[in-house]
Amino acid sequence: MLNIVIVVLVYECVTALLFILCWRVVRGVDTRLPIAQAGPVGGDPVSVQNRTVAEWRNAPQLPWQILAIILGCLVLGAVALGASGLLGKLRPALLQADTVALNLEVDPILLRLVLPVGHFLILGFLFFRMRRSVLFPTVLVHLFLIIFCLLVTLLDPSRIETVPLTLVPIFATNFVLLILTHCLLTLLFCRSAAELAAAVALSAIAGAILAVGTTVISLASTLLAGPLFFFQLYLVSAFGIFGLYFCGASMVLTLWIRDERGATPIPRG
Amino acid sequence: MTGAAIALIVAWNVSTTLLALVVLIRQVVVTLLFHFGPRGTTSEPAADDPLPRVTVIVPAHNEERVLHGCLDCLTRMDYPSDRYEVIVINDRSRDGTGAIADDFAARHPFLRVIHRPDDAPPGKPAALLDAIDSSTSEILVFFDADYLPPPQIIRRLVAPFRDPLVGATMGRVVPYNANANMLTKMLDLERRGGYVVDQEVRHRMGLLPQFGGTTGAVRRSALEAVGGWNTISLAEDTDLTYRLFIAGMRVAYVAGAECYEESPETWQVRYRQVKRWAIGHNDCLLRYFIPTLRATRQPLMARLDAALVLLVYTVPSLVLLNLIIALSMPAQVGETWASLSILTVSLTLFTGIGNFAPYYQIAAGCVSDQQRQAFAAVPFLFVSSFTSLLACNVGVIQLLKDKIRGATTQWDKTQRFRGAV
Repeated sequence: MLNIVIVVLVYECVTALLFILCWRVVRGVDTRLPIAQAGPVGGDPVSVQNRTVAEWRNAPQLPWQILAIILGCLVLGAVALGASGLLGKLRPALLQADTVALNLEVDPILLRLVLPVGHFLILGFLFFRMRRSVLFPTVLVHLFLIIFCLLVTLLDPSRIETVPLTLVPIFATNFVLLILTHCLLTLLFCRSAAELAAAVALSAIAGAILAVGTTVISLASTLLAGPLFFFQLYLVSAFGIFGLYFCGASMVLTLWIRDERGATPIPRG
Repeated sequence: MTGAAIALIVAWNVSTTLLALVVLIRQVVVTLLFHFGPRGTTSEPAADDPLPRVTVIVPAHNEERVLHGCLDCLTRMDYPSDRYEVIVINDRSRDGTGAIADDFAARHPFLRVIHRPDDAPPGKPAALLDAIDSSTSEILVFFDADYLPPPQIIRRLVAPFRDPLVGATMGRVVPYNANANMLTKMLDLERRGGYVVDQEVRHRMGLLPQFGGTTGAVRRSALEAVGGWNTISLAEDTDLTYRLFIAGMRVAYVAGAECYEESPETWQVRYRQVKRWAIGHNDCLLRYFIPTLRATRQPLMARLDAALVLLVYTVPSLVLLNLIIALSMPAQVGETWASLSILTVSLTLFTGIGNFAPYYQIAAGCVSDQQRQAFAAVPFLFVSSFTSLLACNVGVIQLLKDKIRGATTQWDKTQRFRGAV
């Protein structure tokens, strides 16, 4: 059981580190938008409203995009299912392994409380340290949720006992939303053959993220139950699956894509 | 818990989940319509169009940090000076706002200042009403004091009034301090999604774009026809939008009328802003939801969409409540396949609605702006979404409290961040 705690902790730490890395990459991107400042009003040949038309004129043909989308979906599905299967085979070995917990006897109830109480303590610490930070409302909402989950569990301690769960709806929901997300991003963002190929490569990363995330959820379900499990499920789904996918897409955008319309100095009045 | 109570909770959960799903689906459909739907005609005025007389109104309450920039821009407008006036309302300011406005008035004959006395009714809507009453122009244009309007914006905002059914127009707001921090980057993304895609599609499809109260214009006769300016509402712009809609008029979105604004740079300021909007918007929901659905002069799709948009500041409360119910539910109904499915969908919606629902529109907005790299900040959208979630919920509770007590919620001015004077 200690192994599972360590795996989930490592996964959460890696997710947090990737978010920090992503912010360090994207924060320097100048996103100020130059607005239409001058020019004859009546005779402006390319009005602001027609930017999209100009953009689409340079886009690859729709059939190529649809092909890339279909390929992307297939790759995402294949990698997600394949990697899930592979990780599923490793799971019993991990559960059986005693390398970490050798000669260590810990009360199972305590082990089950390590993650939620750990989250509570970290959020409590952040609550007092980040009052002025833009992240404070995020900390506050999550602190409220974990306190709520801990209270519900406290009122009904039997809910800490795990029961076998079917994870099919969780996997299916995340899978469908990830496919939808990826298809729309491919359709909207890809403007060249290289970018379409990059989208297919990104779909493989998305599949791997989904497989790892679902495996972590599956492991957490053997450790946590009731609201505490669902809080963990939410954290992994929101930040560990979708968040990481967007981090991957962001880094691809930041590092490889060059925009047609750069930032220009903004008048300060 | 009895079986009936559990059934009631499950029914509530399923129905609100469906409602949230409809909002989510709307975002995707609007984005697809933006790219594949019919293109609207531009609202560029023809060179020989007769230009109406225009009054630009700038409400200013302790705005010495930003007012100079706004007035400087307004003195350089590409609009005939004999058909153009600017009214600055110095609304009980305690700083140098009045002196700055007076200085401009002394140098520019088309600009005048109204100094509101200390005992005047408080709040921006009341201040605007004073300016409206003291002007005679048929077209009233509004800018907040932190805005930096470009020279051609007035012409663009008044152009759609050629259509007699247009009661108000709305331009696009662009934050100039997008790079300041994570929050301003997120607000910039939200603006792109909201204006470039959502407002644009609503305009193109004959739905109801929102008149936002600033970077917008109103036809005086239309305003009078729907009962004048509402000084009580905290969302007087939304209030006017829906009154125009119910009366059979239109709001036109003018994408080319772009104007810089200052985004809040701290979560506290953003929180107070969204809370104010949530109170005002939900107040409009209570008043106009049914009349909007019954506005038979408008097409059915427009009515349905306008009613759905009214729910925008209610959905965060429903989603949070849904999540809390879902988290408590399995103990009562057992951790069955069905309860797990409901919970998963609730969790996903919480994630989707809260964190990533607007990303479809944001992505399309960034592409349309030819700034695809701006989208790179989207993983951090949770920063603004949790601020909004918190503010919306507190706003809803505040509104309910005020309704029960019969109290009037006070206007809360947005703090400015531009450098010292």
